[in-house]
Amino acid sequence: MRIAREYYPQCPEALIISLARDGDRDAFEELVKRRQSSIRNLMRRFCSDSSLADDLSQQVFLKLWTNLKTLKNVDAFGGWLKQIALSIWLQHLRKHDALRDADEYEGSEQVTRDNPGKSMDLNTALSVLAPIVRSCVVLSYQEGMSHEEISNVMKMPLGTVKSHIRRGTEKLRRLLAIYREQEDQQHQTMEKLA
Amino acid sequence: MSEQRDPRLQALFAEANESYADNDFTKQVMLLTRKRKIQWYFAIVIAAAVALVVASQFLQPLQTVALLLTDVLSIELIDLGDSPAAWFLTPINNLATVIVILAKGLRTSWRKVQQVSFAN
Repeated sequence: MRIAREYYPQCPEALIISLARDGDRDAFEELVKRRQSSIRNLMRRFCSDSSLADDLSQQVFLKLWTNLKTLKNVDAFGGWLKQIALSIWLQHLRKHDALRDADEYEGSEQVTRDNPGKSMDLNTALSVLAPIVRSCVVLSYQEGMSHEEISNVMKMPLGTVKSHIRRGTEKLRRLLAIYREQEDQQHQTMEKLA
Repeated sequence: MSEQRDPRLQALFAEANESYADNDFTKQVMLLTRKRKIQWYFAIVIAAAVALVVASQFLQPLQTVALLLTDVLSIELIDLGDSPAAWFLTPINNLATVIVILAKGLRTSWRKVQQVSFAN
């Protein structure tokens, strides 16, 4: 029995994934709708250029469509999709020879409040980090991956991953200091009002 | 370094996440999948056409060579006529057996020569 397309938004994701795996294009479309936010956010953290981020996200879903038949365990879909996204990003870095450059870019500009939105501020701050450092930081903070997991997926020594995350975090703290000041001010104002 | 993350930075990452309900993006992805499907079908058609051309051009000569080889390799070494012994010895009473034995012998000799030269 074929489930009508209108019911797809209410269907559990496991069912949608299974249908898409069997070649149902409508189910795949629903899957793209559901997962586009997480992938596009991830890609926007990886690369500050939003149009490039969207291009890479489209490549992620295209690769997903091509390889979906090989997915055995539907429960592992989330991690699998993340893995595809990371491989597309690393492929992009390799093409642009960015992996060789493990040093951070020069630049100590502090993120200003001229940029509307926290997302844009965060992306601007992340763009100052070297691509490989940025990747480690994003996987840790955005995806909540452990250092060991990052070491495995990035195929880098654990010590290097830890060092990248430490350096990246310190730099981000400096760049995003304005948020700390703002929070402290808000905190002080609240205390005064109380 | 411990796995502990900066809580403020983590909160900022969480707050910075945006929700995208972009239909254009989905449409673009679906268009790309359609294009990929068409490219795949096109590749299959091209491969089938190439295989057909190759088969039509080379199948006849290849068949002739294969038949010739079979005829030559199955030549009897000793003519035993129609006796039961001839039927029983058919698998080894042919040129192919000699070639196989020769190849095995050459290979063994070559290995022995190599072993001797390495030992020296």
